[in-house]
Amino acid sequence: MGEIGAFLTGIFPRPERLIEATRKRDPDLENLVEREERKIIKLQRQYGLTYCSDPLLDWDDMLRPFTDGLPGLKSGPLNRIFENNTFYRMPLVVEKLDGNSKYRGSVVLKHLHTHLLGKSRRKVDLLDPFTITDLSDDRCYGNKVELMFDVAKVLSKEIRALVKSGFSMIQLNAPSIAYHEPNGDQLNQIGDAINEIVKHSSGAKVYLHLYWGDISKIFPKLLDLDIDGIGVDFTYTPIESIKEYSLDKGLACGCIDAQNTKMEDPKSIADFASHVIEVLSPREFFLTNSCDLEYIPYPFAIRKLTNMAKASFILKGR
Amino acid sequence: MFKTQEIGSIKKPDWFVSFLKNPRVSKEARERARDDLAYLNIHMFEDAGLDYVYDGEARRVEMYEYAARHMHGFDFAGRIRSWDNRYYRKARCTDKVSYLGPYHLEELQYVKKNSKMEPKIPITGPYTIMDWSFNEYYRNREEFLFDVSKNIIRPLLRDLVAGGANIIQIDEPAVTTHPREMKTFVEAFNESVQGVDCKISIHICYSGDNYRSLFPHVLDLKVDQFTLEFANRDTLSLGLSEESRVGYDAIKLFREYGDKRIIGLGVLDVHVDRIEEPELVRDRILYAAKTLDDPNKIYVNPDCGLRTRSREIAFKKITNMVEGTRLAREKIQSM
Repeated sequence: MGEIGAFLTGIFPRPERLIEATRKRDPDLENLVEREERKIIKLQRQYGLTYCSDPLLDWDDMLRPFTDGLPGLKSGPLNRIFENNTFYRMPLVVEKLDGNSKYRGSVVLKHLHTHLLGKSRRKVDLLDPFTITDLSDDRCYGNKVELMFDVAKVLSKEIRALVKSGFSMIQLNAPSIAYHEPNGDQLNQIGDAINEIVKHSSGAKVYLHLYWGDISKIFPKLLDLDIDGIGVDFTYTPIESIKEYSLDKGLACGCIDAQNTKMEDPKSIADFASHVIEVLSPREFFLTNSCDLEYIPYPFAIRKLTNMAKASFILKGR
Repeated sequence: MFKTQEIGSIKKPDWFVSFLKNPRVSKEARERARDDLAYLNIHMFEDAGLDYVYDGEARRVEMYEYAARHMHGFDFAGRIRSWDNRYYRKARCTDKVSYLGPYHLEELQYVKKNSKMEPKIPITGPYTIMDWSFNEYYRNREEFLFDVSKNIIRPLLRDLVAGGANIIQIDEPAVTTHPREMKTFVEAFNESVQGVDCKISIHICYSGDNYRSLFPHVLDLKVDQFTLEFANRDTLSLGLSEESRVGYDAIKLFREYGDKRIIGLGVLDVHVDRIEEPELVRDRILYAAKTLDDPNKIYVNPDCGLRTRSREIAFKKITNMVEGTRLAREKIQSM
C-alpha cells in the first residue's frame, strides 16, 4: 500500500464577509479574496493534507474560467446544476474549440492564486471532457462526441500549463458520468477522451472523481482507464456494491458528505476508510469530500475539513 | 374565460428594506410599514386589472426562509449559493418537525380586508421545504417529507381555510429537480391537502426537463390547477405556429394524458425587463387554448413571482398581460 492521506475536492464556500464584500463591490475585494484564500490554504498545510489546492473562492462555478475565457465559447443562460438548487452559467459552443490555432494560453491558470500555494504539493480540480460537453449547449458541432474530443484537447493543453506551474495532481471531476451512467459504447468514447488527456499529462497524476451518482454498474469499465486513481462519492455508491473489485489504482474516498451539514466524527470516518482499504486494496488512498464543499455554509465546511484531517491522522496511525 | 392572476412575490422597494434594517425602528413601526407595502401591492395588482390578487409577499423575507423560520425543527445554518454571488439561507432540520401556528393567516386576513378581489394565497409546499433543507434528523428524505406534509402543511392549509381562504397556491419549484422521487412527491402532497376544502393550485417552475417527469404521476395529484412557467422558453415572434410557440410545447403533455384540469399559463418572462406586448400575450393564450381545445381550462399569469424586476417594469408587464388576455378573449368570442 502506497501513500495514505487526504485532500480537498472542488470549490470551497465563500465566508459571509466575502459574500457581503462581493455584493457591495468592495474596492478591496481582490485583497480580501487573497486573505481568505490564504486562510484555507494555511489550514490545509497545518492539517498536513497530502496535496494543497486553491479553494477557488472567486470562481462562480467550475465552468466559468472556460465559459468566460475560452475562444469558441460564450456565456449562456443560468441552468440548474444536476439536482441542486444551485445554478451555473451554461457555456454556449458557438465555434469549434480548435485546441491548436485558437488557444491563447491557459484560462484556468489565470483564475488560480498559484503564488499562495508555496512549496506544497499542488492539486487542481477541473471538470472532465464529458461533463463539460454535457453541461454545454452545442450550437456548432452538431456532434457531441466530436465536441468532447475537442474539449479533451483543450484540457490537455490546460493540464500541460498547470503541470509547468507546479501542479502534480490533476483531479478531473465527473458528475455527468456518475449521474448519467453512460452505456458501453458511450463509456468507451469517454474513456478514450480521458486517456488522451492522461497521455498528455506530463507526468502529473490524474484522478477521475465521480460524484452525484451510484457508479457501481460502470465501476469495472472505469478500472480499465489509464488514470492513476478513481474518486468515489460514497454518499451515493455503497461500498458493498463494488466490494468484488480489487483496485489497481489509487482511491480518493469521498466519504465526507459535502451536501449535508451533519458532521461525521473523525473516528467513524477512519473506521469507514479502513473498511474501504481492506475491501478494495487500492494502490494509494486519500480521504476527500464527496463533492465541492460549497453546498454547505463556510463554518460547516471548515469543521468538515478539520474532521477529515483528524481522520487522516487516525488512519495513518493504524 | 381566461381569469388573470399573479404568482406571488414582487420586489420590495429599497426604502422599505432600509427602513426594516434600521435597528432604531420599533416593532410596531415595522408592522405598519409591512401593512403599507401590502396595501400598495394589493392595489397595484387591482389597478392592473387582475381577477385574483395577493399582497406580493410583502411580509415574507423569501419563500423558503420565511416558512422555515415559522416551523419547529429547523435551525438556520448559513448561506448557500444560488448562482454567482446570489445566496439563500438554508436551514438544518435537527428535530422532528412540528407546526407552530398559521404563519400566513394574518397576511391573508389583511388582504381579505383590503381587497375587493378574491385572494389567492401562495404557500411553500412540503417537497420544497424538505429538499431545500439539510436533513440531520430523519433517516431519509421520504420520512422527512411526509412529516412536513402531515405535521406542518396540512394543519396550515386547514387553518387558512378556516380563516377564509378559498384558493391556495402551493409553490413547489423543487419538484422536478429529482425526477426519481416524483411518485413519493405525489403521495406526500396528497397527504398535505387531505381534508382541505378549497381550490388548490400547484406552482412549478424552471423544470429542467420541460415538465416531462411530472407525468404520469401527477395525474393522481389532488389539485385543481397547475400554474406553470412557459414564456421563459418561448420566442418573441407573434403567431400560433409551433415554431413561434415552442415554449408551450409541454402543454401537449396535458392533452396527451387527457388531464382536463386548469392550467395557469405563464405568459410573462420574469427574468427579463422586456415588456411583452399584448399581442404576444394574446397569441400565447390562443396557442394554448387551441392545443388544449378548451379555452375554459386556461388561467393567465406570469411565469413566476416578479420580484427580480423593478416595480415599474412588473406593473407594465402585468398591465400588458391583462390587455393581452382581453384581446384573446375577444378573439375567441368572435370565432
